[in-house]
Formats: sequence, C-alpha cells, structure tokens
Amino acid sequence: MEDTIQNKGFKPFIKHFKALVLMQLKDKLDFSFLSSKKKLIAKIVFFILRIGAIIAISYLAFHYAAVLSLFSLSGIVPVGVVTMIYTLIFVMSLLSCTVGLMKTLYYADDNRVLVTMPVTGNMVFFSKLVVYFIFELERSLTFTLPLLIGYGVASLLPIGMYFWMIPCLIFLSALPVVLGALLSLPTMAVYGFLKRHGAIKVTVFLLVITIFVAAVIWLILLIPENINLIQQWHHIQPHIIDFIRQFNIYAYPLAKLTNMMIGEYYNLRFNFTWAQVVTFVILIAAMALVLVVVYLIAKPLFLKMTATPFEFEKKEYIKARENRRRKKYKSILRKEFLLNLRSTEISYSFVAVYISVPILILLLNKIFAAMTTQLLGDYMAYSFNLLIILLILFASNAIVSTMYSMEGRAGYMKKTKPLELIMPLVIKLFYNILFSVLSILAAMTVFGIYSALSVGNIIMLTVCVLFFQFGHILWSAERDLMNPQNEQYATTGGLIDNPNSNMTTISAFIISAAVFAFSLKLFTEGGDDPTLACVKLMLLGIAFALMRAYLFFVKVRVYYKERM
Amino acid sequence: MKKSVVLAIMVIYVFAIVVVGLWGIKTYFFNPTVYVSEIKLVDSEDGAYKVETTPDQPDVDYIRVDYKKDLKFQLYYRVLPDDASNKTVEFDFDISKYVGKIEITEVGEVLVYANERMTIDGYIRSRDGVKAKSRKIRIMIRVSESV
Amino acid sequence: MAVELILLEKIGSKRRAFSANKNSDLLVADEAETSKRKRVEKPFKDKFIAPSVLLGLLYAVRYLSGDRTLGNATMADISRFDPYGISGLVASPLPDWLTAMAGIFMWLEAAAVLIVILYPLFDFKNINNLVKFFATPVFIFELTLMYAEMQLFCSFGMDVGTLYLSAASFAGEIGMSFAICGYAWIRDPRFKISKAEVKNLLLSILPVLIAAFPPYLLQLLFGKANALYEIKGLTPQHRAFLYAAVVVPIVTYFGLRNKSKDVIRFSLLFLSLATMVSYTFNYTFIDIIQPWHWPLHLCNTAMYIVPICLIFKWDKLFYFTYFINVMGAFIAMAMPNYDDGTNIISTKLILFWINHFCAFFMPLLLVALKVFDRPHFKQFRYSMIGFLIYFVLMLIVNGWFSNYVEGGVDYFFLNKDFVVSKLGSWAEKLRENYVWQFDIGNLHFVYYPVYQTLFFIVYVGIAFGMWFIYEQFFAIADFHYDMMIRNRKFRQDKYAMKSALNGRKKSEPMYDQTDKLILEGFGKRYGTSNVYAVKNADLEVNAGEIFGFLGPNGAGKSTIIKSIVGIQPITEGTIKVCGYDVEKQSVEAKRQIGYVPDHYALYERLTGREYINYIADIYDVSKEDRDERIEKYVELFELQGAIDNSMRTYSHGMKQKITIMAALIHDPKLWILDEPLTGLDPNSIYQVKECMKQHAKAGNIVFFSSHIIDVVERICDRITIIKKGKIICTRNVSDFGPDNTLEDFYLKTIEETEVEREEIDANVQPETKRKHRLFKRD
Repeated sequence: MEDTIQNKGFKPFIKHFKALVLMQLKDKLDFSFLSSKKKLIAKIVFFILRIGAIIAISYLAFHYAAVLSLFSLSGIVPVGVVTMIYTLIFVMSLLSCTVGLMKTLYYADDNRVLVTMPVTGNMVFFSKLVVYFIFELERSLTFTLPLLIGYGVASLLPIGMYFWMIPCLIFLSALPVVLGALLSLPTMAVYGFLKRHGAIKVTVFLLVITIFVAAVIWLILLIPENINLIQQWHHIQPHIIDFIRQFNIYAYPLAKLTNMMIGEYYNLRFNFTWAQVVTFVILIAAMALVLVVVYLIAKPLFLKMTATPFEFEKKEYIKARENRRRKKYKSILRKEFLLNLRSTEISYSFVAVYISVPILILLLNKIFAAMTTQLLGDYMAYSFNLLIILLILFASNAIVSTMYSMEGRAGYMKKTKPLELIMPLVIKLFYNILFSVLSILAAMTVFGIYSALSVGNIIMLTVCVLFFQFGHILWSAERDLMNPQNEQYATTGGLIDNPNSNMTTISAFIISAAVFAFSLKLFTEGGDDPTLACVKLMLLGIAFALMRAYLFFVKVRVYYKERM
Repeated sequence: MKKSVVLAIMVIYVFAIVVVGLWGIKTYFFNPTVYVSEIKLVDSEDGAYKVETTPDQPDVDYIRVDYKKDLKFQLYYRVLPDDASNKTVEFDFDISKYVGKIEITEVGEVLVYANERMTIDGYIRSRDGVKAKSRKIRIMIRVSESV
Repeated sequence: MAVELILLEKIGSKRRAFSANKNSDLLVADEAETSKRKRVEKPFKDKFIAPSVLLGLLYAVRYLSGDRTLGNATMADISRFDPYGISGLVASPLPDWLTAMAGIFMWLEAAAVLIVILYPLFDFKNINNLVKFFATPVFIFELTLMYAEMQLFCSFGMDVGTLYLSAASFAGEIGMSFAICGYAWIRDPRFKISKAEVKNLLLSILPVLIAAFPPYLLQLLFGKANALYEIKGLTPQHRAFLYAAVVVPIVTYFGLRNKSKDVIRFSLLFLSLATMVSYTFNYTFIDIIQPWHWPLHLCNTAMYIVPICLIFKWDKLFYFTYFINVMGAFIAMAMPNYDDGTNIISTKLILFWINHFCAFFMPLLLVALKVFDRPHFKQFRYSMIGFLIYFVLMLIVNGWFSNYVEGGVDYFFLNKDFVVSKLGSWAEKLRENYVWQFDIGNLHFVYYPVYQTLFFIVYVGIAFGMWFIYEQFFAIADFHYDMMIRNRKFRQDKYAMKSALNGRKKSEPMYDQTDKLILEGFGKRYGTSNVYAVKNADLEVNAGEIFGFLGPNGAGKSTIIKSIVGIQPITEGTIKVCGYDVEKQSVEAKRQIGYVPDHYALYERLTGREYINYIADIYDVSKEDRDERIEKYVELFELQGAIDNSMRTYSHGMKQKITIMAALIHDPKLWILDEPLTGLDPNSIYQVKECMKQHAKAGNIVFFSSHIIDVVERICDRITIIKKGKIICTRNVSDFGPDNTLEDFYLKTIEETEVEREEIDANVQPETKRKHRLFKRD
C-alpha cells in the first residue's frame, strides 16, 4: 500500500478522516439514541445525573476526609492525595490503551477492510489513535473532571481553575493514547510470542496467577489481630502523611501534571501559577515527540501487518488425531470446555473473578476480625460479606448474558440438531455454575472461619448464596435468549454496549443490595440468635432460584424457537 | 466486567469496611446518651387494674380500681426506649391529703394502700437530666357500678 | 296488565336460557331476546334509580345524626355513666349480647343497603339474587332489631330531635329498601334457584361482607384491648398489613378478571362505596358544616373520586388518582401517622388502613380490569393539572382553616412538620427559615414557600417515576400473559401429538410417507406481523431425486428451509420429513436432516476434526461409520493438512467444506443445501455436485436452493419456483431444452406484470400490531 492521497487537498482529507473515525466509532458505540428525541433526552438526563452524582460523591468524600483530618493535620486534603488518585486513573488508562491499541492496530479484523478503502495508510493509523483518544477524552470529561470538580469545591479552588482543567484534560487524555501506541510495540512482541507458543503462554499465566495469589494471601495474613483505628490514629496518621509525601516524590511527573490541573497550594489556598503553563507546554512538546516516534516506528509495522496475510496464525503440520465417540452431553460439555479454554476473554475472566472472590472475602473478614465489634457490627459484617460475594458473582454474570450470542451463527444452528432445545443451553452454563460453586464454597469457608456463626448457619447461608447465584445465572442466560445478538457478534465479533450485559449488571447491584438490606433487617430483628434469619435467607435464595429456573424453562419452551 | 463496575465494587468494598468500622464497633465515642422519650403506666400484671386515657386529656393515665377493704396493689410502669441510658424514675404524689398511703419500696415498687374511695393525682418522672420526661397519673378508687 | 304479561313472558324465556348455561353471571340467552328484555325492563329499572339515591341519602342522614358518631363513640370517649370513657360492649346501655347482635347486624345492613342502592344501575343475574336472598332477609330482620339499633345510637348522646330525625329516616330507608327488593322479587319470583346460582351467591356474599366491614365493629365487640402492638416501623405486624395491601388486590384481580364488565364495575363500585361509607362513620352533621373537618387529605380524596369516576365514567379525574394517590398511599402505609401504640383493633387504625388500601389499589385494579384504559401521556398531563389544582387548593385551605382549629390543619402535610421531621434537621431548617405570613381581615395566613415548592416538585417527580414503574409493570404483565397463552398452546399441542400418535412410540413416524419431504399448506408469519412471508406452500419431494429450489431474493426460500430444519417455528400447515412431523416430532425429524446453510456457522476455535466428531456425537454416528466417512470426505475435499488445525486458520472454501462434511457425517435421508457452492473452487464445486448425485442415487432426498440456474439445470431432477411467498410452479428439468431453457422460463415466471402487482398489493394486509390482551374480553 502506498502513501498516496487519492484526492489532494485539506478539505477532502478532513472529510475522509472524519468518515473513517465516525465509521469506527459507530461500530464500537451505540448511537441509536440520536434517532429518537425521547431517547436523546433520556440520555442527556442520565448523563447529567451521572456527572452530578460523581461530583457529589467526590465532594462528600473529600469534605469528610478534610473534616476528619485523614490525610493531613491541617484539615485539608493535600494535593498528594489527588496525585495518587490521578496516578491510578492514568495507569489504568495506560494499560487499557496499550492492550487495546495493540489489538486494534495489529490484530483487528477490520484492518483488512479499512485498507481497501480510498484512504491512505496514515489516515487509517491515525484514525485508530483518534478513536481511542475520543474514548479517553469521554472518560476524562465524564469521570476525572467531575472528580476534580468535587475536590475543587471541597478545597475552594478558584473558579477559573475549573475552566483551565478542561484544556488540560483534553491534552492529558491524549497522553495515555500516544504512550500506549508506543508501548503497544513491545507488548505486541510478547503477545505474539506467547500466541505462537501456547504451552509457554499457559505456563506463564498459571505461574503469574499462583505467585500473585500467594503474595496477596501472605499480605492479608499480615494484618494484625486487633486494629482500633480511632485509638491508634495518632500512630497511623503520620505514616499515611509520610507515604503520600514519598509517593509524590517518586511519581514526580504525575504530581506535576496534577499540579498543572489544579494549581499550587500556598497561602492557605490554591493559586494559578506560570509553572502550570510551563508544564502544559512541556506536556504538549513531549506528546508531540512521542507521536513522532510512534509514527516512525509503529506506523510502518502497522502497514506491514495489514498488508500481509496473517501467516503467523497458521501452525506447522500437526499429526493427525484419532476420532473418538462420546455421549451427546459429554460431547457438548467437551466442546464448551475447549471453547472456553481457547477463548482468553472467558478463561481469564473465570480465573480473575472466581479466584478473587475468596481472596477479597479473606481480606474483608481479616479486617473485620481486627475490629472489636458489637452485635450490630457483627450482623453488619455478615450482611456485607453476603453483599460482596453476591455483587462480584452477579456482576461477572454479565458474560453469561452474552454466551449464547457470542456463538454467532453457530448459535442458531443448535436448533437444527436432534436435541431437546434445553440441553445445549443448560450445558453451556455448566462451567459458570461449576466455577461459581467452587468459588462460593471457598469464600463461605473463609467467612465461616472468621465469623461467630455456627456451622449450620454457615451452611444455610452458603445454600442461600449458591441458589441466588444459580438463579441469577439463569436469569442472565434468559436475557440473552430473549434478546439475542447473534448476528451482531457474527458480523462484528463483539459488542461494546451489549444491552443484555448492561441489564445483568444493573440487576446485579439491585439484587445484591436487596439481599443485603433484607439480611441486615432479619439479623437485627432476630436478636442474639441469627438462626431464623439464616433459614429465611436460605429459603429466599431457593425460592428465587426455583422461580428463575421455571421462567427459564418456560421461555425456552415457548420463545426460543422463534428467536434467532 | 466493565471498569466502571469494578470501580463501583471497590467503592462498596471500602464503604463496607468504613461503615462497620464506624457504626459497628464497641466504642463509647460513638455511643451517645439515649434519653428517655416516654414514661407510661402499664396494665397490672396481676389483673388489679387496666390503664386508660381520654381524648380530652391524652397525657394522663387513669387507673380505676374497685374499692375493697384493705385494698393494696402495685403500680407498673414502662420507660421507653428500652435502651435508654438512664431508666431510673421518681414518683411524686401529694399524699398529705389522702387517707391511706403510697409506699415506694427500695426496689422501686410503688404500693398503694387505700381504705376508702379516693382519687390520687401524681407524676412519674425520669431522672436523666435536662430532657427529663414526666407523666401525670390519676388513681381512682371507686365503688363499682353495674352497667 | 299488558306490561306485566310481557315481563312474565320474558322471565319465562330467561329461565330457559339460564338453565341451559352453567355460568349464571353471563346472560348467554339469545342476544336479541336479551336486548328486547332489557328494552322492556329498562324503563322500570330506571325508575328505581331515584329511590335508590333517596335510600342512600336517608342512610347518610341517619348515620350523620347527632353530635357523636358511632365511630367516635366506640372510640371509647363517651359514656353517660362514665365520664372517663370506656370501650367495648360495656359502653353500651344494652345487654352485651344484644349490643353485639346489633353491631353485627349494622354490618349486614350496610352491605344490604349498598347492594340495593346499586341494584338499579346493573343488570346481571347474581345481583338480583343478592337483593332477593341477602338484602331482603336483612331488611326483614332489621324490623326486629330496629329497637336495639336505635338504642345503640341513643346511648351516644343523641338528643330527642335528632332521635326523631333518625327514626324518620330509618322508616324511609325501610320503605325504599322494601320497594326495591319487591321489584327484584317481582322480576324473578323464584324461591328455588340452581346450584350454580347458589354457589355464585355464596361466593359473592363473602367479599361483599368483607368490603362493607365497619371499622368500629371490632372495638365495639372487644374494646380497645391493651396490648401494645406497634403497627409502624416495619414491625412484623406492620408488615402483615403491607403484605395485605398487595395480596388483596391480586386476589381481587384474579377473582374478577374473567367476569363480565357489569360484574367488574359493580364489584369495584361496591368496594369503593363501602370504603367511603366506612369512613363517614367518623363524621356528623357538625363536621359537614365545619369544613376544616372535611376529608381533604390526598388519600381521603381517593375514597370519593373513585366511586364518582366509576358512576359517571370521568376518566380525566380518574387518572389524577391513578398517578398521584397510589404512591402517596404507599408512602403513607409505609410511614403511618397515627400514634405509637395505636391498638390493632381500634377504629382509628382500621379506618387508616381501609382508606389507604382503597387509595393504593383501587386505581390499579380499575386499570388492570380494564374499566379504564391504560394511560397515555395525555392522561398524565390531565393528572398533573389536577394535582396542581389540588395542591393550590390545599395551600389555601390550610392557611384559611388553621384560623379555626387550635394547632392548625395539615392537609397533605403541607402545613406542619410531619414530613420534615422524618427527613432530618436539614429539612426542618429549610422549612422554618423561609416563612411567609400575612393577614387578610381577621384571618392570619402562614406559608413555607421553599418547603412547599420543593414538596410540589418532588411529588411531580414521584409521579413521573410512577409513570415509568407502571410502564414496566404493563410490559411485564403483557409478557407474562403472552407467555402463559403460548405455554397453554404448547401443552395442547403436546396432547394433540399424543392423540395423533395413537399408541405409537414417539420415535415412530406419524405418517406413512417415510421417503418424502412434504409441505402441506405451509404458511409463515414473523412475530406480530399480519403479512405472510410464505403462504399456502404445498410441495412433495421424493426419495432419489435432487430437487432444485429457485426464486428471487426475499421470495421465501430461506423461510421454507429454516422452517424445515427447525430454526424457526411454523405458523400454519404441516411439514413432514420422512414421515415425521417437524413440529410434533422435531427431534426425530431433525435426525433425518443434514443442513448446509447459506453461510457457514462453525465453532472456529475447534479444529475441523473436533467439530465433525462433535456433530457425529450429536447424531449418534458409530465409530466405524464416522472413521470411514471422515476419511472419505477429507480425501474428497483435500483437507488432509488442515483437518486437525483450528478452523480460525481456514479459508472461506475450507469452512464451507467442513460444513458440508458435518451435514453428511450421519448420512441423512434429507440433505438440504442453501447456496452451498459460494466460495468454492471449481474442483470442490464438482466434488459437491458428485456428492449430491451419489447421495440421491442412494435413495435419499437432496433439496438444493441456488441462484446458479446452470448448475440447477444440470444436476436437478425437478425444480420449483417461489415468488413473493407463493410456490408458482413445479417442473421436471427434463421438460427444458436448448430452445426452452430453464433460465428463460425462470425469468419469465418471476417477471411481475402490472396486473399481478395490483393483485398482490390488494391482498397484502397492512402491518398491524396484534395487541396483547390481559384477558379474553375486548
């Protein structure tokens, strides 16, 4: 492919570039709300509410942190705290951009289509960067900016500073994109290497996971037996302040960027200084430099990758395998196992979610155990345990609500097979259920060790959690059945905004909050003996699961056949 | 899982620790004094009387007891809320004009002795300082009437 | 006399009609006869509307008499003999047993009076029986207990003048009641009624009595009792009442949903009037002339708005209560404003819950039972206007009437601090810091502009929220009803299949033509559309032939194929695959089919061999057969180097070959191919065609859809052409030759003429959405 511009001139260039960017954005985002006035209004209202909520929460958090003198002795929240928060946001953005750009620049299927269009390779390359920049900008303006506004209101930032933040954030949004484009090169090398050598990939992955889990558990077990934050606060606070100070020293560039956005604090207030402008100019210059490096190194590689067939995907000749006959359900199970294993999205999420739940519960209960709680505190601890376990598991069921659709056209070919319709649908959920059960058993065992509940009560609560999870899995799967997205997955390979997984996530929060409130009410009503509360919770979980199972089976029976 | 969901879960996780740490622990710093909100007479446990009120005087507890020779009964009362920090009460009866007597024992029982028809007015008060609550009592010893 | 004869004649024929029909709620007699009878009777029934209204007025006069209401009295405030107030039976001057009887009887009387008042407005069998066999005995018995009832009233401070007024109105009531009852008896003088009528009568008496239950009765019978149950703060007792607020309307809905419109309207009107009457036990004439005692709270308004809307069918007014009252009632039930320790059987508590039950679920029931339509935005606007009017009125009334009541009035909680005390000190400050006071003449007005404005805005927001919640509930209800109907049909089909099998096993073919593919009257509609994608398709394909299926894009080829293979259900007709019905014996039918779709649909993370083995497992192919066939096809399609690679590395043609292999691995009797040659190289195309010929030669059916007419002409034995969902013709390929090619014939066939287009357009129904009904009536 040559770098020749088909229609010379600035206006056609902008026109083509804009079309490329919009096409890629439309592919990844849902713009259907533009078609309807009602949806547009609703979208705007929710958008404003979301921004308002973030500002309010941020303001309250910083306000009470200042009032309680959590991070300083002078009743303010030092800039160092904001630096830490911004660092976290920046690192997450950088990771996301690096991995995302690596995939979209070098491994995306749509590259083969884009390069056939009457546009230059440069345009395609930069259009991809611009798309990511737009995502980052959206995140900055809808999350980081409200967060900073909340801090500003709590810390009495001058009004002008809020306007100054906007251009800063616009350019700061581009920073992880250009750095990500640069870092995508070595990442791609490692990724490609691991892709070619599957055994090494699996070994490295397992090793990293094992070391990480072991390290985390070791750290958790280091938490002392007795923590009394209030009494020991005067010992703890200087360490916190010192840590913030050290962090700002080691993360000097990010501290400067934070100061660039919110100003310098002296004379008991925030002030706009020329140092901010200088930092801003240096930022732009640094980004320009990185962009040039990216253009010189990454772009040629991008063009090479799009121009040649994906030969590296093909393996060398493999020895012919034997044919084996299996029973139907075993065959379907094996198929699902192989598909899950070979799909990194699913297998990584299984591992991440189902391992993290017991670890998080261990940490939570270790902290609770270190507090001297009264009866109400114990009951709150039990309810929060249920909340956290259910919330994480339910939220992870978002992938269940895409499982049938992810099969693409192969999904509705199931209906042509001589099977009862329900069989492959239920078997598809097997691994989710299996991993859930293991994760719940581990988490509830940890919870049981640290709580004062009897074995019987723990068993009842475990049954409660298990059945709630079964019910929610079936509900999530049912959503996918009733609103299938097979065609979308077949043509685009994925959906940024799958409505089914959004609904599953929302229901995750609502149901886990409801269980939390209900369990707390039951525990506190029961006085000293929580047995009755545990019985009621168990029955509630079973009732929920039975109801969802009934609805699932009926809906498969009466609706599945006509849904594509 | 979307990043926003992970973030929300992390926030709730930290919130759980903070909430239990602030409201669930045994510390007098966060246990404010619970003042008495109400005192009232309750029905006799041995069936000697029942407490009534009238709409004209909702703040007055009436007890009507049929007179008999050497009548004696105990007054029962209740202090709300149940977890009030100081539940001690005092009784204030103007006994100078009554024929009979009211005796308050060491363990806080209030015993009424009567040997004829009479009406006794008095107050029962909490003793938890500035926000003390009180309740007026009227005890009527009567001749029972057929209706 | 003539009129009388007509009546008797109609009654006679009606009797015949009724005995033929077990469901005596619906008049299933001859429609013409029924309407004729109604035309004759209507003038008579209309004449009784005035007496029934008069009866209601007289009843109201009696109960509003005196300066103490029965409700107040039994709240244990007054006794002539005991100035300090006692409650229960001891408060009555009559013996306990007589007092109890009179109290219970007054309950029956309330129910009977309401039935009789409503009788002239309705016309269904059961109401006639209620008047005859319930109301009439009650009124007769009333004559015997009249003295006791009056005594009960007398004991509660009624003076002589009002006593005579009460007695006079009582006499008038008796007269009106007997007149109306008499009419009911004349209309249907039967003493003996059918068992079904008895059952219906008994089943309706119970809910009538429950609805007409007087709020004071328990306190009259049992006194105030002394147990301190907290019926607030979500205690178990409080929750029981809240659960009842949900359970009662659900039971009522399921009890009424299959009844006629008349029965539904009567039931709901009775319920709402009974609630209103219960509440008026709290009032006297003195309260009427003192407007600051009027029931103007938001939830009180529901009590009189609902019956007014039901009687006069004022839907605009109804939607005010639908959007505004329901949520208000729910909040009030969650946070009751009666005193702590209010007794569980006290009049005050029962009045509170009766009032709020009515305000909460009556509007919902009225919409659920289709007395009023589901609201659109227009109705929501009306309700907002109504709410604004009510709000302003209450602001005025609160300010004005507070001059006459010590402590002020607090309609809709706009005046006092009840709401803000629940919200916290920030809300209390907001109210107290912004006060506006002024005088008009001797009247002093106090307003809290910030608090009251925010109150209004929040309530409007709540109304919007209710709109959203209602929409969700409607969607859920409609969906579940649709699901229930489909489930019922599924079970019916299953039963029909068992009958059709007639003792045979499910695995045996239902039909004898085990070597054919047959479509009989096949039709397909998608979703709720009225437009047929395919209509009346008849086809028969024999074993041993390659059958070509031709048609332009959108003709219905894919629809037919997908219906055969089971991807979508059939709307009409039957499809038989080798003797198996595709709908009723879907698993067995699919076992006979191998399907090659127009676009491969593979699990691309599997290798080719893994995928083929998986398909073979589904079709129960033996190890030997699959080994032989896999080897054969791998060699035929030259996939030796790729069969054990991941299918993600395959080219388009290789994926198509795997799809063909998967369709043939179980040696199907019916092999369906939908555009199978797309993307294949010439050698592979040749191989596929050879496969097709061999497969047909072995006695199987090959059903082949394609756009490439040359190929179809060369390999097919017969072809059919489909156009706009209709099968146009079926021909033998041998009928075509060099002078009369299949291509020419095809092009000529699918060419639309002007006449054809007009004909087709005239036959196509406009797409309309089929409405989902909550129940069978319209």
